[in-house]
Amino acid sequence: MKLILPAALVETLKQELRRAGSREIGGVMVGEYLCDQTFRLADISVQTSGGSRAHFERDLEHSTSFLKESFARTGHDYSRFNYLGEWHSHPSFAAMPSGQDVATMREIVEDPKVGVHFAVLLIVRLVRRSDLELSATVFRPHATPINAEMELEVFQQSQKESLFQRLIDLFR
Amino acid sequence: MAGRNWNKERATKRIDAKIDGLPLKAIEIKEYVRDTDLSNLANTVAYRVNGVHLYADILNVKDMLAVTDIEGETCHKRTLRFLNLHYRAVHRIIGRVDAILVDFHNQRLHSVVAKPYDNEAKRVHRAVATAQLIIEVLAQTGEDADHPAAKVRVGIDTGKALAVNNGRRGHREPLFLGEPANYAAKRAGGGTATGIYLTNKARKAIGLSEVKDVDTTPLTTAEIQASQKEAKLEVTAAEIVKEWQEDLKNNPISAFEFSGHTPPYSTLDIETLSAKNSRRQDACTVYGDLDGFTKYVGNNIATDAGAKHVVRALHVLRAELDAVLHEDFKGVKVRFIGDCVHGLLVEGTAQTTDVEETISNMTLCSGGMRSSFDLALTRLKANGTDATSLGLAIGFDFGPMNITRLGMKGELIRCSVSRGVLAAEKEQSRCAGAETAIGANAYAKASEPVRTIFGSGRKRSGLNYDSAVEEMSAKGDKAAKAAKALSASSLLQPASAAAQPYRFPDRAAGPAKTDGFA
Repeated sequence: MKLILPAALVETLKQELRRAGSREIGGVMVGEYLCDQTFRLADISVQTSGGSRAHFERDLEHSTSFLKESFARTGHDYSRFNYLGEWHSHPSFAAMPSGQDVATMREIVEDPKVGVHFAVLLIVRLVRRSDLELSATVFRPHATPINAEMELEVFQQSQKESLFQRLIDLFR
Repeated sequence: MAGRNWNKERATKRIDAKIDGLPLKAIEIKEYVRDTDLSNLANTVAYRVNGVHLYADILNVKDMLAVTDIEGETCHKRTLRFLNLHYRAVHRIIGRVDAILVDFHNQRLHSVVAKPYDNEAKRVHRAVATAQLIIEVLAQTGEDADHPAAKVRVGIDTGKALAVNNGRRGHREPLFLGEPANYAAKRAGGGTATGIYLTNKARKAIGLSEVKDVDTTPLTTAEIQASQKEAKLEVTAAEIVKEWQEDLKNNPISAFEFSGHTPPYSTLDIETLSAKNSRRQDACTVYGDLDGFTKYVGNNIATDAGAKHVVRALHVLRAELDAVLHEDFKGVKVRFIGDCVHGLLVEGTAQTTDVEETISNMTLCSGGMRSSFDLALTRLKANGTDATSLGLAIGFDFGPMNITRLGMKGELIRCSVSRGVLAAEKEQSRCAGAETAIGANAYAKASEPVRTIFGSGRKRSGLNYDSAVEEMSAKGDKAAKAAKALSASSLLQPASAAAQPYRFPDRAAGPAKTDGFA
């Protein structure tokens, strides 16, 4: 399975991780189905509360409200835009799923109330304040998790960072 | 949950295909004669070999593995380099004394002296002299405090054994079945004292008196010297050590580098591994041993008709045990060791092993092995081969496991050695033919349903697949429930082959509760 990451969302992640410092943050992800086995990350919720140095608890109310708004924006076209999975940060550890992460994701994909055939777990970590280390693992019910292939979507002209922002990055 | 399972229909098809591929009329039993090449035997050919079997155990491997509190990378690297150094030396000795190198299995070497063809006493003397040469060389092939000299205990027996193909890709090495191989191995593993230990049969062959306890009566220095005088080996320990040093200089052993394999192990190609490309992660390791096989060989080796049944039973039973491990439960066979299969199994990711699922699936796999074993005995009997006297003893444990290949360039040998591997072998050896035992570490980390079915004695009789899956799922074991769900939906293939495509459902999806991550 392939996951395309838009550069704008990658930038959003970096900014939120810088703000959060050594606390774990996270949220849910909405994906866009593109073609056979290929999805694009369409939006993410950012929950900055509920995290500590080595733990993150994703809140149900916060994520449900975010998904409702997102589904409304995309015209309730669920077979194209839908819940893709979960993300959270590992500021103090490698960007790899922990035992608890694997167990939680398995519960999610095997829970009929969630109603998915699969879910992606994205784990992110900021390295040297500007590089993003990440892993994407795909979970399916009753199957061994696999790594997703990731591709960074190239910047569009309109999405280019401002000169001011690039200057700031030069001095980071 | 990975949803591995065992299925009777699938196993029956496999077993019948294997039996059909080994019709009795196609199996040839031949006498081993001068300069017969045993290195590339077909599955349908076996030789009766009158020879002397030598097992050499490196006793201090356990010490190497136990040198640190935590069984970390350093501990494994030291042990593997230690074995690699000594493998190279022993390989050189066996080649120079014109013996047959049968196998290295971790700390254990099996070799056969088949020459001279017409003189059993001379063969035993030659085996004793070779054993002493191994002891003297391995006392000098350590490097430093981290890679010390090896402490060696040798077991020797003599008699007729059946040489069959051990079926490994690349080079098909011979496998010797029968009493002399088994009894020599038992003498080598019969204690913790170094020295050379002969069975009474081997002692009698060279004119020594019988002893009451063969495992506590090593040959004396004078007895060894007498054998050395008779054997007149063409090489000395000093020469071997010199050659070994030159080889090490010209072909240095690479530093061991480990990475985790993305589960399952069934996708791991062991033949591509080397010191620099080794694997290491928490996993389960299993030993499945055909109980009573030595006696079965002993009862059948004398006639061609009997020996044909031995060859057929061995290949069918071993192949099916391997298929359960590899095809049904997505593990990997490290190797066949005589009538025993040694394998590994893991669930989770390359970085994080799902401990409970790995142990639960290993338990289900051991049940599948027993169900397939029972089924294979029935199918063999229906096809004229009665091997119902055999049993299956299974032991497994959990812990940090490595897998690599060691030895001489071009002839690398598979190796997976750890505290868990030694523990699993020990668990298997405390089992009778209907028993399965779980190691202490796996027991401590297993789900409650797994602990319950084994009990505090960590051993269970008659644990087949149906009883394992029913008992474990009734008590809420997730892996067993997934396996049961698969069977209930009549899926004959493992779930991974029948998974849903990557598509969104046509309705709103999303989390149903607050979830925790770490």
